[in-house]
Amino acid sequence: MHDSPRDRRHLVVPLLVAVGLLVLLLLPLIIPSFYLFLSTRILVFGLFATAFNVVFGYAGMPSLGHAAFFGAGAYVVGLASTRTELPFPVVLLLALLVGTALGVVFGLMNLRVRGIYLLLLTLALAQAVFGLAFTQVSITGGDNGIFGIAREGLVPVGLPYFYWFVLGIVGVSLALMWQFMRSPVGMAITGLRESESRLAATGYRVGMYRVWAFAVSGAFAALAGMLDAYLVGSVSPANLAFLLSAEVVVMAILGGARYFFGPFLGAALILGLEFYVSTFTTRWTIVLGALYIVTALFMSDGVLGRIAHWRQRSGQRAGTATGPGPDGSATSSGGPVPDGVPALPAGAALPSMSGSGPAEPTPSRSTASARTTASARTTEPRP
Amino acid sequence: MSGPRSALQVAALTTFAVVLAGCGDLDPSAGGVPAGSGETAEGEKGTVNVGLLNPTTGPFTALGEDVNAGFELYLERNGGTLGGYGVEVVKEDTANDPGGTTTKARQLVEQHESDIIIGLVNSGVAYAVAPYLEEAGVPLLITVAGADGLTRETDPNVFRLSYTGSQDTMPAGDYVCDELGHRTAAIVGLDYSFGWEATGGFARVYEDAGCEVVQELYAPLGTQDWGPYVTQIDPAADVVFAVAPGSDSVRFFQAIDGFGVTTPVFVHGSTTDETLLPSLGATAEGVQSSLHYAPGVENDANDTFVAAWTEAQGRSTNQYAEDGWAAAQSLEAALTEMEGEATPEAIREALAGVQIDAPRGPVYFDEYGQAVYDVQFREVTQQDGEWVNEVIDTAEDVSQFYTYDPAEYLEFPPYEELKGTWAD
Amino acid sequence: MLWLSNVLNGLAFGSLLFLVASGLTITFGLMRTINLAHGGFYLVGGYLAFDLFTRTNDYWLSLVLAVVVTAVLGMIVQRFLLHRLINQELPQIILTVGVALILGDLLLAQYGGNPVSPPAPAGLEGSIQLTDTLVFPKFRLFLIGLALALAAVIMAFLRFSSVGAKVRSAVDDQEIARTIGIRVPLMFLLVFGTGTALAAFAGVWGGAMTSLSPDTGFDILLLALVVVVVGGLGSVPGALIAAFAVGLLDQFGRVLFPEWAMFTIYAPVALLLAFRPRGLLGKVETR
Repeated sequence: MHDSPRDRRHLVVPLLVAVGLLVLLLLPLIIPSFYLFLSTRILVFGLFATAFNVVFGYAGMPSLGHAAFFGAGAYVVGLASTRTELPFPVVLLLALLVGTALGVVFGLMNLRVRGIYLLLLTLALAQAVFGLAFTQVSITGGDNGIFGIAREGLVPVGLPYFYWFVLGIVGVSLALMWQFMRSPVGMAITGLRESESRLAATGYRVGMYRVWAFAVSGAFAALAGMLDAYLVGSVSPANLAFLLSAEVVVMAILGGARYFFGPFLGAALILGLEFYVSTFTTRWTIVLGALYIVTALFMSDGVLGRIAHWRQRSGQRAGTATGPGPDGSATSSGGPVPDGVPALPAGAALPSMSGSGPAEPTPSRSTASARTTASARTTEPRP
Repeated sequence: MSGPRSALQVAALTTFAVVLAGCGDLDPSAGGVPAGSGETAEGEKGTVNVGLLNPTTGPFTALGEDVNAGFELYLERNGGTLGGYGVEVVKEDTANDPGGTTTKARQLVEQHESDIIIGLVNSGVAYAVAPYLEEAGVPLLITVAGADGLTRETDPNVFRLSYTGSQDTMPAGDYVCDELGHRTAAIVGLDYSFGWEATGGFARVYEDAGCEVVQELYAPLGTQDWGPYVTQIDPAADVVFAVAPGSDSVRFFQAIDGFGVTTPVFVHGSTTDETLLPSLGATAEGVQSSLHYAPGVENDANDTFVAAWTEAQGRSTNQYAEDGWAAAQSLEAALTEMEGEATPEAIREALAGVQIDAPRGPVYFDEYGQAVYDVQFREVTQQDGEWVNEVIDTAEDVSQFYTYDPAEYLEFPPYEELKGTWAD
Repeated sequence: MLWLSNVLNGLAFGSLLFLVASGLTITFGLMRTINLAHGGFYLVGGYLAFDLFTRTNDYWLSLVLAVVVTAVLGMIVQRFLLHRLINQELPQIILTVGVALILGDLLLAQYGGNPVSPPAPAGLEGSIQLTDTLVFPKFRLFLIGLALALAAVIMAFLRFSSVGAKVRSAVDDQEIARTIGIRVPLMFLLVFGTGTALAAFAGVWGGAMTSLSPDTGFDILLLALVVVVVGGLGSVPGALIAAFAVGLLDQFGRVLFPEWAMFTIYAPVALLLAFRPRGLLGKVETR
């Protein structure tokens, strides 16, 4: 009785996944072609949000400057394709390199700051990069940016080919990030969020892992930016703007920053919503703003967190344990354990959600109480 | 617990979401923002689908909405038909985002089966959308976006009623040098491609006319404080030639006024356009400009336009409203020539030969799809308590190459490379 | 004399930045709330004053009403939305960005996208001849005095009233604050209302200097944020010094290295944050 549903699930889940992958592969043949562009963009932003989450959800550092990486990748393409004859693999490497280097700079600069100061520092860094793109007009084209980026020679002409190309790169990138988060370095990065002081006490060089997180995150975010530049055909400072940095945070939280695929889902939801709502009303920005507010107030554990929570509760009601563990002390204080994903232990509400990072060796009374407030808020079942 | 399980479920869920986003709009009721008139009128020759693609959010909202309003006003006055075809309009928002606009353009073409796309304000957006429309074979009629390079191909898919960056300022080069007699000029421009093209067009003609650019200053778009720039203006220059459209214009003239700059100012017409005059007020008094439209142009078409617009909107006409109005007029002229089904291909061919008497005056397209029109020289004056651009002179039949030979002109280096070299 | 003009102008722009930053730094210093809708309230204040002035033609009435209405709006946002997120900085940031998006779009819907100029008080038009070669706008000169006066008022208030201490204790520990008789929700409400009132006040004055359009809220916000950070989060005198420093840096940066205009502001700020997170005059605290 206890095992049979699980056995069935073992068959059903891979099947579902296979079907899902097949659908993704065949998407160009299934959906009206005007949505293929949107779907491609969702893949790109999904990659961006997932990369962002390495720093945010995993390492527990609330960066408000990730547009810098995305934009840097995009500008690499813009400059390379309009001013040079570099072949694509070189451009790809360049984008990864620039993203990594920028990530290292971000990581090093952020060694000493936590919480709100980290938010502001990453924001200032991103604005400095934005400023360069905006004012170095002889190189970057200023506000206009760079247009006329062709993807000739990359893939055969036609959006379906480019979609498959993006799907491939995004798929490989996600797999690499997944593996990375399970590597010793990735585990240590997750440890950063759980308890930086404990990690330090066990002999880990904490600073190094902070830099690692930013470097990996920056590399893949730049890759996403690169794909977006090829997709759209132009780059502008909007690719580096503060609002993009804020949007990716919302994507991660809305989807569920505690889950590997949460941010991806968040990206799909936000892009889809933006597009869908703007078809009906010119006042779609208000809907977007409302979504931000709702996310901040009610969705701090994201859609996936909500689903897991709901499933667990319905499981409890039915009297069968569908959840990962016996519902007891762990889950009651911390909500569902996200199984699978390089898991965060129960009870760990996103530390970054409260301003007080887990970083300080001796949390003051106020920050400790703040954390309790935050975790209580994220997990208390709502009537 | 089985590790990858929920992750895979999530992957499946995301797939579902992507697909959902894809299929979201299969509901036929999910149209665009409905056009003013609502129902599509019956036309004796059939119907034509028009996609209006303009910003209705973001920094260029005012421009996009005026273009839309101008187009719809003309259509409404014609009972919803143009040249014997009923016109179905679907409006979408570019939101000033090249990526999002591409999706919208595809939706207009593939879902709403638009036969022509009209609009676009931002040149970056136009560059992103134009290749797709070319591939899809749907003509694009640009109403604001000004980058020179958008209309440089013969047998074009892209037509443009509004100016190229340099088109309206080239005649000003001759006018300021010869007619006004200002022999030396200081250039103040916004530091982006429109700024370089508009100042560059002026500078080229001005210097070819024998006058001299003595200084060039460029400020970033959205400069909050123009003090640092206007205080650098060389007091020895006879005239300041400025290009600072939008809200930069308000701040520019405030600084000119506040720092006591007394040198005469001549600007690209978008820097003192009628949408800005109420905010500019007395700070722009006496400023002269060149533009392809002024509400005071005297002809029948403009009288009709001004009367209709003023009644509908209760404010002055402006170049963007005129661009939208003239777009409807051009489409009407093209459709009038056509028989049978209004295909994109047929519209494209008919559009190339269109000649209209627009409010701005006679307009036709050159072989690159760029409008050729009269350029007005204007001066900001006060009439009955309102600030207006009074027409002081006209340059007729101005093409994007002005008096230069097109072949020769196209060989010139782009203005972005010439920026900073005029004063040498 | 060009350098003097540049110095004065840098100070004038710095004064505008201080007006905007004052509300931001108070809200943060006392409530630990980073209000990214501050730029939105700035716009609302400016637009309301513009609207009221076109209707009534009475400058002071327009100014006062705009400030009061915006403060009430701010208090509504605090009471019904922000209040649930005390001490949660990231959700606060997201929520206030959402509020800013909504405010900007509502203004766009109501007033359209063309720039508007809120009124300036009579008597400040035109310019004043300071030396033989130096002409300077009266309005900007007045703005410098206004910023200094505002700074003095705020500092005196914080120093001689117990509001600051009360709010701080409320933020640190609501339970204890309640037991000693502090009405915590009311405190938060008043502080946030003051912050948005200052934003509106800055919007009326700043708008008169730079004009307003619905999409400029974040531009001014980010500059004000720089001032707050450099001055030290929560420090009013720090913000004043930082505002003048940033104003001068911006002015001379634009004159001397125009291609590096924004970089010359944000890069030093990032460095400062990296090595001295508490800013110039912030309290020793490395949360």
